Amino acid sequence: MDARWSLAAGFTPPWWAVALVVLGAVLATVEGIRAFRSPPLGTTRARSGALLALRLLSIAAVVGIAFELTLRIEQVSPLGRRVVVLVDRSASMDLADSVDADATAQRRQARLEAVWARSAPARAQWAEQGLLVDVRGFDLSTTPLPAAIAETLEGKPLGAGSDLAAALSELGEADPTQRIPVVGVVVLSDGLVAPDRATDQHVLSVAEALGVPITTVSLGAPEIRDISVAAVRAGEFAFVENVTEIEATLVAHGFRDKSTTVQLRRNGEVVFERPLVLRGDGVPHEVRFEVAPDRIGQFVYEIVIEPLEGEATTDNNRQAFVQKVLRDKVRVLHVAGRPDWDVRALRVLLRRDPNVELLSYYILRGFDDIAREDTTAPLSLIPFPTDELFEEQLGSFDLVVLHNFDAVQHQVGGYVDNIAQYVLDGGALVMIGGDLGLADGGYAPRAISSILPVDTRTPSNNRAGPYRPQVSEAGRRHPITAWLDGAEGGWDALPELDTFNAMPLAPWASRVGASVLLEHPDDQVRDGSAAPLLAVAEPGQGRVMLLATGSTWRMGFAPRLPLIDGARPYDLLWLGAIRWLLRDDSSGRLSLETDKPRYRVGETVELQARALSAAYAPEPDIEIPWRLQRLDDGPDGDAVHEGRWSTDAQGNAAEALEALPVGAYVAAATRQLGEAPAASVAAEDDPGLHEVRRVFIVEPPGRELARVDADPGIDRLQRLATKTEGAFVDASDDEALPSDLPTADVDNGAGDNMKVEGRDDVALWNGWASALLLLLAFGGEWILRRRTGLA
Amino acid sequence: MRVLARELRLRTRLEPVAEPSTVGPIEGALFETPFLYVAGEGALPKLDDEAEQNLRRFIDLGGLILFDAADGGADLAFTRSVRELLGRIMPGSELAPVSGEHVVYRSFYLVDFPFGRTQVHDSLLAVQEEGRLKVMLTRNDLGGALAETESGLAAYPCSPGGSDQREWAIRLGVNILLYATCTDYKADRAHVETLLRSRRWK
Repeated sequence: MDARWSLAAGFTPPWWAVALVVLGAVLATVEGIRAFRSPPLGTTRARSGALLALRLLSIAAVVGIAFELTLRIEQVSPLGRRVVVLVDRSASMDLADSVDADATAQRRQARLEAVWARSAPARAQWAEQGLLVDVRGFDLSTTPLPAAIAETLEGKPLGAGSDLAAALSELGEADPTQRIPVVGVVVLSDGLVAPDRATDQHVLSVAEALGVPITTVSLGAPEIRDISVAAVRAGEFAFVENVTEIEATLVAHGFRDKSTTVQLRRNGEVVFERPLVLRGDGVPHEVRFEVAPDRIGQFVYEIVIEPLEGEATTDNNRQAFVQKVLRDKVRVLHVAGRPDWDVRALRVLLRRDPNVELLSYYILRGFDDIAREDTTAPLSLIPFPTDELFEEQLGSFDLVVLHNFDAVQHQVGGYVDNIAQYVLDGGALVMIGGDLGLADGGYAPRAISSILPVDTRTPSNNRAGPYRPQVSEAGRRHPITAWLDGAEGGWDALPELDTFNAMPLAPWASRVGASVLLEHPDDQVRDGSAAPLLAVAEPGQGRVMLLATGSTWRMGFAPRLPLIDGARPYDLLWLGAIRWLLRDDSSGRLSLETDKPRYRVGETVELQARALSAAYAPEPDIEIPWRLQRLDDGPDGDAVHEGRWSTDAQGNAAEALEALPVGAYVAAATRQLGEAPAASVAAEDDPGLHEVRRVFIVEPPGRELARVDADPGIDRLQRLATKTEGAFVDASDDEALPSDLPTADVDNGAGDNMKVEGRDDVALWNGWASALLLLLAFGGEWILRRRTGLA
Repeated sequence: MRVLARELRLRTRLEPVAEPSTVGPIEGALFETPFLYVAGEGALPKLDDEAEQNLRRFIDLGGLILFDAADGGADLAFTRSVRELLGRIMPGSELAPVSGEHVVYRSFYLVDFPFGRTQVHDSLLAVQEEGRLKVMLTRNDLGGALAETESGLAAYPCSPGGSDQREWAIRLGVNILLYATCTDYKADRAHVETLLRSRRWK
């Protein structure tokens, strides 16, 4: 241990005071030296020397007091030297490769453990040289390894990637807890630490900036047998019935001319399968699939390569992604029994929406008109294609509007069963009243009447006369009519309607989840309740709206028509209706969501369900059975998790799913709409059972396994060692770390590289000694000058 | 209009009221239907601001106004005053000839000329905006061709085509009303394809 002496100033006066003191000291010194060199006559040399000494002593005393000088005595010893060993813990370290095609493949991790063990003598030498070894694991972050692991480097590498640049940057940053300087770095890796040239350059720049030699140990070997999905390119969204492209880049090593297949799967089911003959090592195969989704929703698509024997890993043979399929254009069939202003208003509204593909058929003349027909008159009329519309193409429509349409008169009576089935299968139906459609008993057959919210078994008269509808309690919250609650004055500010088909609520209303949204103000049905004007139902998988008037066009054409948020009441009513009928996200009575569509393995998956009543109020105490399955297991697979929720006061229920393994999952939840069926009815036959699904994926830690080729890694590690004047070790050649590890020179005698063991501060400016010194110096010089006759 | 309403009931499934109502431009009754028929000879009477605002609102909410020049092409005063009125209530809009391909010529009958009591002008005029006809002007006295006496005879002779011309005028009137209630229904793809097929077949 050595002692280190220094002077320290305890007080720094303002600059002008410093300047004054320095100026005074310089002038006094110069004057003293001049007097010493040219002493006045009669002054001896010894006396001149004494005067100069006393002058210098005075100046020193003044400076010492002015700057409060302290003598610092430190006991110091050298800091030592440190070598940081960075060990790659990313998933690619678990791949097996070999030096040539005939050699046995070895895991890179095994190669790491072997080279570390082989280097034990070298490490012992480092210790003898005074090098402290600091072992850290790195993947996307850096973690010190416990002593036991640092001794063997055993473990399962699972890291999502290898961020060597970040690990080296950390070493360059000042660490207040660690003062032993880094003199060298050892990197043990397969070198797959940079996905592109820019990152590669960044790694080199950071390494050079560190300013110490970096010795690299390459753990990869050039011969690997693997095929991987390197990249997938697909849109986050697609449109139903529109072709969307899904492209994948596949890369193979060690399987030249071998055959395999590549599949595109949707929600676990194979959509396409293609044979693939593999080319040379690292040559990318571009595979393209064209898909036209047939329905809306969220789907898990997956590119899957059939594994080949001897692959380094099969974890990279598949890559999944989530795609949301949106509706491109809504196909609407608008069939009207006769042209009138109500038909016109709805047609204009539907035509105005660019998202609607409208197919209209209006009956322009009846049989009696045909009987009176002038056969010579050129007409633009076309046949009503009943078969095509109600038999062949019915399922292609998202919404069917029967607008005051007398089905029986136009040979559609025989198709009402089809229309009912279309609704039960998930279609949307609007029936609008008037003098024809609901007035002729055409919708009396059980198949169609049993899905409607009102009883159409007996014809209803079309009554004329002005009235203002009443909004029911359910109507205040339902998305079709909720806007009326916010309208100033409610319906009193809106135009009167003037036609009405009086029909009672259907006896089976609760079974089909019927809800009355608007009522006639005066008209009552048999049981004395208000007659429904606008009623909705959810039979099976579909939705129905029945409007018992053909006069809503008046809500869009009237003097002093109030605009609500800039929109006509007519538009609000119908746009709300269409959204609800087409099950826009905001209109379902049971929703199931995840907080995001894709998760990293280990992340918690949050499932959230929300139940709403037929009146669209939050619905508490609803029993919601749910289950989670792997998509790969198919619909009959075992549940990974399952349970039963009961919604809270806000209609919500949630579940946090922990520790789900990598894979694609589908969560399904169900609720009963309307009355529960008899016990004998199978669940799948229960039209009131409403099921919602949500798919999501749990992804592997990263895409590092998409890059398996060791060659670029070996080159990269070699360059890194050369650039920083470190050594390069190829573990696949059974080399070991060098005993004489390249390190940076450190000057152990320099201040910054010394560790302070103890410190003693002696104040030079306060106390009697400094005052006495000042007195003696000034007083001595004055007395001596008087005696020599100079003062 | 009464005759046209009758013909519409006889020939089509439209059910117009038997007795068309007569309304003024400042009455709420103007909005009883989105179709307004204005016929006249000579200049239109001067309308006050409220009346003109009412007509503008009628059109903005989707109404269709059919102006019918009863002079049959003999006098330009009616047409000129209609243009002036539109210049005030629809500034920037112009009456322009309606193409022979327009759906109004095939909304029920296939018609190729805007027949009326006369055949002076070979096109309808209209303000066509936002994909629809907002205002139409017939200049061959459509109303005169349809008009009947108390005894049910034609009130005015149609020249030069006589009763055939009258029939075509009725057909044009039917088409205009069908266009008013169905808008461009007959321009839908399904109808166009079917019509083209049937014409080729013939």
